[in-house]
Amino acid sequence: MHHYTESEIIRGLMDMDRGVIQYIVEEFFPSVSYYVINNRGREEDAEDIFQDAMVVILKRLKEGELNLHCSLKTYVYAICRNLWLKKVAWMHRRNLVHAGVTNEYLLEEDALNRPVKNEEMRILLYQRNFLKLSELCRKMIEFFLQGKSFTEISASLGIENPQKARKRKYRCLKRLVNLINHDPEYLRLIEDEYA
Amino acid sequence: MNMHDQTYTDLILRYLDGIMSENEKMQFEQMLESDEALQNAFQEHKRLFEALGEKDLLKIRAEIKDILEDRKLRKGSWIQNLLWNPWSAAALFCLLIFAGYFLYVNVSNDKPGEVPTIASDTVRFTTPDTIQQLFLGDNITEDSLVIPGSESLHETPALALDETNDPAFQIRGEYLELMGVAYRADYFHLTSPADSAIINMNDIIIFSWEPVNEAYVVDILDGQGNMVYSSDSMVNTPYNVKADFPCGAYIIRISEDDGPVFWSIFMVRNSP
Repeated sequence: MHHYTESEIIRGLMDMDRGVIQYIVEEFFPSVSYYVINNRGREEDAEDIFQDAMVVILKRLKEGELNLHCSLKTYVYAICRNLWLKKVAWMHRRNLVHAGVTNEYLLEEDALNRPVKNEEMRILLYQRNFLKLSELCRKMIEFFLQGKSFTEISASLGIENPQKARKRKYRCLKRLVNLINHDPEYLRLIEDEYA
Repeated sequence: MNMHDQTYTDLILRYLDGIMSENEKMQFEQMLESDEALQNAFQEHKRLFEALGEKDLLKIRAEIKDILEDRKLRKGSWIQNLLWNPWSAAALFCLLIFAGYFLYVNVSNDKPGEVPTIASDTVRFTTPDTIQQLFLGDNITEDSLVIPGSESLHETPALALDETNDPAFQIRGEYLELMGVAYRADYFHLTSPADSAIINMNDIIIFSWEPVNEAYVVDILDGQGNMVYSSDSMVNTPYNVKADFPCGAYIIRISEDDGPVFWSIFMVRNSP
């Protein structure tokens, strides 16, 4: 496999270069997977966390907020670790306090210059719930956000008429809001923000 | 504080859709100026739309997911390649024979009545009363068995092994996996006179959900996935079903147009 330098990786990430993304997965994911699995997670959890971390990194990159004081691999690992500990702390707060993991979590917040912010967590939660919708619903919402008319939407998605498309889109958005509203991590996020 | 208050969601979506009358629109805008909760909810919706509008962020997630899937497949094909190579296949065969013999010697000497401790694709209950929600770090009693998903962060029911090996209480693993993703568990409720997921035969089970204006199809499947009851069409909450099913474990599936939105389980036992 071709070896990329840090600056090539960052450029490739900005350009969404498939080869670079593939390289990132091959090079960075195994250590994340090892960490998550050794901390009571599953391979699937590691995959989710890794995807989340890359979303956070790309967002920071695009907003000029990615100040690297270490290698990108260490940074990705630290973000994943941070996300995982945050998830663990949110989902099972009461158990973690007994297990003493909370201290580790707090230390981790200090160790990483830029822990994952609530605003970033929010985007991850929105995305994750959006992906739980059916493909039709996702398309419907995408078209709506692109400002397409209901006539266009109904034609593109093969829905009988614009009225039905509007009703359908409304149901999809409502379902998305409901999903988010009942996501335990979202509730924790809100709790944290309004504590 | 609930940012996505249902009443506000309806109002906000109607406003954003431009389907409000001029009068309604004016009222909404006035409310928006004075009602802090509505302002928060409106802000939250705006953030949601902004986040979903960031196509690159959704794209990178999809790309990585795709690459991870490929990676898994490649791992699988590595095993296939190994099997196609006659020498490695022979070595693997010998290893399997040895492992099989080892397991036979060490595992097949179970005492009568002793229960296995590893879940394969079915999980059984010891007694109906052992069903519980399990959280990471909880103690698990000696006779209980936790499905693989519960070892991670997913809350799944802790199910104990069935002493009697009654097949009626077995639930296929694929359905148990679905329970693990019943992310809307606090959105749907199941109640019965016994006030638990253990239903006495012929009791009335009441299904309810929020928001109350939504309708769903309610299906009940046996542990192997065979349909034993269906409301057939969309029904409103609360919805009652008489538990005139034989003793056993059952799966509840609640669906809307696009498919299931909620899975859960209950058990029917003889009236005490």
